[in-house]
Amino acid sequence: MILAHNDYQLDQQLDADVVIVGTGAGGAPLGAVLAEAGLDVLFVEEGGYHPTTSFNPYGTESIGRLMRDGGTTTIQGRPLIPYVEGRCVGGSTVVNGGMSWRTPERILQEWQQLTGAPELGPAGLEPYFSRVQHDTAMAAQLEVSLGDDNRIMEAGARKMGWLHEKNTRGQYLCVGCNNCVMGCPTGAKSSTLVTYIPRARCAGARCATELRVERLILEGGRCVGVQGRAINPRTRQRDKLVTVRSKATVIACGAVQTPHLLLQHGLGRPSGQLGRNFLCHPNAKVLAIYPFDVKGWQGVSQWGQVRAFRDEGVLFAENMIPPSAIAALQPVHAQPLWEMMHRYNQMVLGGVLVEDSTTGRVLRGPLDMAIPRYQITPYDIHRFISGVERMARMHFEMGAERVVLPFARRHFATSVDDLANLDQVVRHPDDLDLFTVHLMGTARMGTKPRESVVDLNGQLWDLPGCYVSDASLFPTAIGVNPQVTIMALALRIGERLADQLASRAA
Amino acid sequence: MPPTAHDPTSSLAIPPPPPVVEPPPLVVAGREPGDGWQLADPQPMGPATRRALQGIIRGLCPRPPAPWSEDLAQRIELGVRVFLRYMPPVMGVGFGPMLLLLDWAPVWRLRGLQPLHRWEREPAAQLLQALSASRLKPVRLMIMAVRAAVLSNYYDQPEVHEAMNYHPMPFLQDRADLRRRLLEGQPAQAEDLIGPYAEVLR
Repeated sequence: MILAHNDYQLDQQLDADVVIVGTGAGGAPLGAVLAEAGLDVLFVEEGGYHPTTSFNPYGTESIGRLMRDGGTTTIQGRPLIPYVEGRCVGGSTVVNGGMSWRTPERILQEWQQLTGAPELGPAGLEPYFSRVQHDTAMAAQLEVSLGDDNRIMEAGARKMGWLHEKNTRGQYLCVGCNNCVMGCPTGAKSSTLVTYIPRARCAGARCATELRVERLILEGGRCVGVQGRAINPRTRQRDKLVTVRSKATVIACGAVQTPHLLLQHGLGRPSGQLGRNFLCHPNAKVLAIYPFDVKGWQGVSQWGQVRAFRDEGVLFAENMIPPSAIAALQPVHAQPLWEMMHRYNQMVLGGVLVEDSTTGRVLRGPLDMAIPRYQITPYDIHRFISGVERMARMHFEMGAERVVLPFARRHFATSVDDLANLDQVVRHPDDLDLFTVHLMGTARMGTKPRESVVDLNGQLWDLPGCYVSDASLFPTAIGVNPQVTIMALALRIGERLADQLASRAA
Repeated sequence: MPPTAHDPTSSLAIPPPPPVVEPPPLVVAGREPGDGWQLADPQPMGPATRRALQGIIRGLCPRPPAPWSEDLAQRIELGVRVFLRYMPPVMGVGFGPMLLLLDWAPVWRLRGLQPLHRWEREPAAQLLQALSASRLKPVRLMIMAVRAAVLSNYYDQPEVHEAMNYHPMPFLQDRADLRRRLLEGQPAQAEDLIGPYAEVLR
């Protein structure tokens, strides 16, 4: 059953064994495990329910419907880093590229060493990765989904002598619509909307949508549910009060909204780590314009990645987006922008992703606003400059006429000569245009209350009955797309929680 | 029955199906999909703010021969006002004063006594471009926000897509039909490949 704003009374009371706040990569797999174990599960989702049959390529409709705050969210710092996260049933898995990489083994070894917990090491998490791989049909793409922007990246990497690897993506028979960021219109991408949520619903789980959770309900030192307000879809005002009482409460709102919700209750003791350790895997966009048609909007997003610079923590990938989104990001307008945009069919958009070398923090601001803060380091700036320079050089090698660079003081390059002295062009972090979608690490998991926010079951050290299941849990940066890691941890937490609730019932 | 055999046009084996397989829709959704969800109502705006917004729309959007009409300008205004509903409330409320501030930019930039909405389009565009390179970060951010709101709407309009030779719907429908055939066990054909369009990639 899916509930929406119209279904709630002015003061609605709901009950469940487990309430899960969030339906993305953290909430949905966990909910499926619990529902299939026979528990009464209620998902609470701030966004609406939008099935596959509703997805279209029009940004002005899709972005408001599917993304938090219409995609206007930013990380504070120098530079400001815009970020996007999903706000709909399926969460960010509905609007991401579907890239599915297991956590690198060196990272899992680091987690094991850091926490002293073999459960977080390669062997401990292996069964969960295998399940995610099966559940989301992780595989390389079919040839029929390949587009010209993919071919250019692959051929360009070959020409430059770089390692290019095909991406593993969570998809079944993806045919390359390139509409991933506006929702997959064929149902091929294994977002939780079409994988774990249907499984959970088949097992009896309910989903309360258009409902923003504002606080936890605490009684006798335990968390016994959540309270929030339904969002009127026409006015976007929060009106009806909805209270959900439960035996266990799982917060799976992502690395920004999860600490935001928990911080208002003064949680995160004794470590004081809640909201800290914020990671965002920033990236810089490089837009190349060719003298021939590429039609980058046809063919899968991120067929492969250039992984030649992984030791530096740098990845390249192509990642075409609709014209409305490209136009919104450009440094020009009016006629100069039209001169670029009417050549949309000749564009290739790529990203330079840089692994975090520092951490930020999520604070709770006034008016129920989460404030993520993050300051890139001189080392990051250096890696962005060299990464952008390499990618632009590759495009010129492939015949690009013009490359739009993410640097405020030099936006346009028309030949490799314009790539000289880029380190002098970026004099200040504000001279960089960055973007991100990978938010992680603000409620780290661990074995010691003085070092972490939650225990190995995902339960807050200082609030029994309250669990976290999302990218907040990561003890350190993982350097790859986080979806698989989040899902694996969610399955593990779900299994443990099901056991706990079963033994309590017995 | 989903295909399990090797696809003749693929270099990759098709993996086994996942526990849940979502079939593609028979007809891919167009604008305003009928999923029961409604877009928010446009944010109310006073006449002065609407005039300011119209002036900024005229400054930011390209002039003919790019697509342009009064109706298009009205649709962009409507789109921006709907979009404001999805922003955090504090930003949505702050947007109106920001538009008024930009409308009076000619005065505080000592470029004239008339508000921007009374300017010709080309000089208005130039003034807005100059503001985007301002040394003051808040001014740059204002332009960034307004540009994103207006231009994302302009470049999402049907006549603009037409002028750009961008036709996503037939392509998406073709892909949905292909996926349905693959799910039925039919192999992909050579004509199902996308491109290559570029000579250098053939």
